Amino acid sequence: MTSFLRCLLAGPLLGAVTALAATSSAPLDAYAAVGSSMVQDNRLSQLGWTEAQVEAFVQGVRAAFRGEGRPVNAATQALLNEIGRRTQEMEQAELRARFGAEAFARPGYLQTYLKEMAKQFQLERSDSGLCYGIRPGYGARPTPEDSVVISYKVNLADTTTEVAALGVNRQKVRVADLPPGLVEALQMMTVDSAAMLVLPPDLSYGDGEWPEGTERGTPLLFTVKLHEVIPAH
Amino acid sequence: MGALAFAGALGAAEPEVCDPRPAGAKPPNDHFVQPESTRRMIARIREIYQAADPLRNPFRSADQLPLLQAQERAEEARAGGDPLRLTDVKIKIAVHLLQSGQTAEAFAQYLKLEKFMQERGVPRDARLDGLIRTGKALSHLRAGERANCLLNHNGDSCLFPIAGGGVHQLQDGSRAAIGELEALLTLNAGDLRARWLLNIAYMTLGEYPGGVPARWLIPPERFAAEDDIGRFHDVAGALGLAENDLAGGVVMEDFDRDGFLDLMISAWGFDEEKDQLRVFRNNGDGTFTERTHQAGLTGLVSGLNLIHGDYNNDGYADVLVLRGAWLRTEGHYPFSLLRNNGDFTFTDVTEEAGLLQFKPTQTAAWFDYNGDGWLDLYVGAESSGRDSSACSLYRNNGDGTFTECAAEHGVDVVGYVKSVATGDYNNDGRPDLFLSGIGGPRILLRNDGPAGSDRSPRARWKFTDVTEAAGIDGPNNSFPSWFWDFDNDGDLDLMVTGYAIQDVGDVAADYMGRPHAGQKAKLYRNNGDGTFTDISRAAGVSRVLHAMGANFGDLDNDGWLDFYVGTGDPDFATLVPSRMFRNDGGRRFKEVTTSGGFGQLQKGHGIAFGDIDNDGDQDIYSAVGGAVQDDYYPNQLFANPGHGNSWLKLELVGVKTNRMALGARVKVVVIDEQGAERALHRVVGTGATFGSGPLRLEIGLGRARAVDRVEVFWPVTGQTQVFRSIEPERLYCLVEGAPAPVQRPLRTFALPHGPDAGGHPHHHH
Repeated sequence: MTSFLRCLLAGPLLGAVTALAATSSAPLDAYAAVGSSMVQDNRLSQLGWTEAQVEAFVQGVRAAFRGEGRPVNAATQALLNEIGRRTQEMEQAELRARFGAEAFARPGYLQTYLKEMAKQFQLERSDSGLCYGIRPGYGARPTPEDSVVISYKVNLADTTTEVAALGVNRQKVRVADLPPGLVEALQMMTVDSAAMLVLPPDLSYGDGEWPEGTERGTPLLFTVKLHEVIPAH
Repeated sequence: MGALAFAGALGAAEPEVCDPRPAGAKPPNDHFVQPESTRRMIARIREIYQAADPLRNPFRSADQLPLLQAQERAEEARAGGDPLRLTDVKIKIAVHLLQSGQTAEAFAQYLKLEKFMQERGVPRDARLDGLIRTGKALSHLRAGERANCLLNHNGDSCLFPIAGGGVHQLQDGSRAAIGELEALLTLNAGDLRARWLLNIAYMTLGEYPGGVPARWLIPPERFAAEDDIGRFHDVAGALGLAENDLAGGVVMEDFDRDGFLDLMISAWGFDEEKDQLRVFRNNGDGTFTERTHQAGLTGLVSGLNLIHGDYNNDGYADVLVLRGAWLRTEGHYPFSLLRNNGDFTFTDVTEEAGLLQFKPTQTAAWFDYNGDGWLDLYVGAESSGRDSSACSLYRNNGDGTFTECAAEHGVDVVGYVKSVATGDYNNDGRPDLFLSGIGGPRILLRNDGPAGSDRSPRARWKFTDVTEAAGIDGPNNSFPSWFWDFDNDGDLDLMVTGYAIQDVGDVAADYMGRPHAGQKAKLYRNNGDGTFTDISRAAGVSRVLHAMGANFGDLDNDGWLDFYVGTGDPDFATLVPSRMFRNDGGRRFKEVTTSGGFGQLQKGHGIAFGDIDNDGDQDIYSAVGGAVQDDYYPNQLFANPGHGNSWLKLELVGVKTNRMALGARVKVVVIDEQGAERALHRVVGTGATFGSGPLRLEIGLGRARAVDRVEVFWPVTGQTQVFRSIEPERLYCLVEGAPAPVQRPLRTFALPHGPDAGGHPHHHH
């Protein structure tokens, strides 16, 4: 979002905005809403600016529309960096509030999250609480005693943050040695099938040691591909 | 429009409406000339079929084969052709040979394919290997089924777990299949599909479980019935009702109002002989007569599902024939509305009624959404990809015509809709709608009445999506659904079956108690406050039923509603039993598939419960047969052996409410053996969404000593009428507004019984 702001201040978008003004018949309220949206989406309204700072900002915007945009000097760059840092902090705080351990410790929050995930990604929910969506493969299904060759990557509950260190690529592993949610899911899968899984905390690392990059008590997302089943016997 | 066709709402309760043959009614007409409107519909369907591209319809195997073989020749002519592309074409040819019934040729094609791959160095990876071996096994298995279950059909044929008369006399097919399957399992022990088919193959030889190698055995206790319901023998063959056809629907209803339930049966194919819509008249003496031609139906084909209702309020059941399902872009066929002329003839009135539409559909429901006493119609549609067809709502104008108004009322839902169920779940007198299907459509639409100040039937109506608020969540993929009061508490509960498996291995895993990705059924109990609770697990229905057809009734007249699902999918490998569940006192369901002899392995579609011999208990008709061209199978009629419980039959006659009282709620209060009152709740309807049962209420009373009263809630007036002086084990006609019940004679006859009754009347070689 800050990049949008940067573009606007730097000028390249100006021509486009001007062209839009020349041709669009949108009501003036819509233009006002664009302004509001720009400020809100970039969290500028949450930065605690003084009236004078807001006024200077508006003047800068007006100047840019006149083709007299203020130059980006070292002080400007420092301010932009500060804005970037603070908005990032705010985003992270929001993520923690939504996807952190404290959030999931709240009664009912995990169930609501799983329900939302199931809805958003068209996932099924098993009796254990595992959310899964499986693209079918063919042939063999592993049992817990079998070994499998699998690849998977892991994302945090926010769905976008990947925990790269946890991912595996074509690794041979005994099914029973995996977290319970994966043991359950792999038994649902056939060779060459792929799955998207949301593991509630008790189906991933539960009361055990949680790997670095994850937060105890939070759901984890696994995207799994089953390459091969190696029977135990 | 003839007077007979439009009797209109009755002015007053007239005694003759309760007579078996109302004054002026005619006997079956032997000289009916097929009307021009019916001929136009026949021509229209034929024209669409002939204009369609067979390559875009995976079910037209016989038409696809020459085209694929031409592709194969053309590819080979190009300097030997691209080996991978040729492999693909050769596999398709093998599949379509099998689907068109050429089992030996299919097997030979797989052998040729293996040789070709070897010669041309096409790598035989695990996927291709499994596909070829499974294809060869299925060619053999299907050959065995054709030689035994079809050509030498009997009442035990293909009943799971196969035993007795179901054991194959000609065993070459199954033995050869076992060879292929064991080879596959040796390489791939975890292939549950192969393991499932292997166990079935051994059953067909009479060598299950002892003959199955221990490491691949699925133990028989996994299939054991949870309750003994007594054996229901299939008597369709003895009665000439074992119509050997493809997937289709069934209506069980008294079409001529002579007091006996007749049958109309459809098949979804387009062959004007094999897939003919057929109607059978119950002669009331243990015989049935096919009257398809006399009824004016000759040439009408391709109905996957049939749903009946009385759209013109003349007291005779009319029938919808639903077409085009599963065919996607190739499925834009019209459905038919067949007007019952009252003399056991039917006229296709689709066009004149304003119902001509061209959307793929196999589900629709009659309901009087606006409470004007005329049945309106909601038709589900199947949208896929860019081929988008919104569902339709047709308002009955009361003059034989309908007006489409789905968009106006905000119910023009777009999705792959496989079931439309109606029921007044919140007991406000207005029928609500539930839609479900493949890939997500799952919508509970509460009927909130007129949207504005205009309260007339033509007013804009308000339907509110209350799915989430009501607690309806899943399944994502489903087929039949239904409203019913399974726990007799006076409000309608909702059953939604699941319909998605990776392959038949998911069903095997479900039986074996292993994790799987198969879609399970859901049962939602109505909390009585506008919300539902998912009780699937506690009720014992959280299973992979893989249901297509379904209906419910009372197997043992204990007053609790049981259900039966017809199962499967187009794949010949999906040999899964149809399944019956007995309601255990409104608490949970116990599977009685194997004890009752209901586990038909061939594909199950339309199902209807009804007392076809008027002996007090409900028999079950099941339309069996699959989707692909050769997947023919005889339909079944399961004769109820009786369970000694009491019963009551009620025929409701609406006056302000629609004539056949569809949607009316009934509460029967009986006095049980201990002298206590017991309430039984029913709603007049045809049942679940795939299969159409009689609108006459057939209510099991358990061990009731007496009927205290019958309360009828008439939805149009909102009045509850109390009828007394009703004896158990009788048939009564209850007329809206009339002070007293009218007892009607109930003539009974005996169905054939015993294991030999289900044999096909023709022995094929």
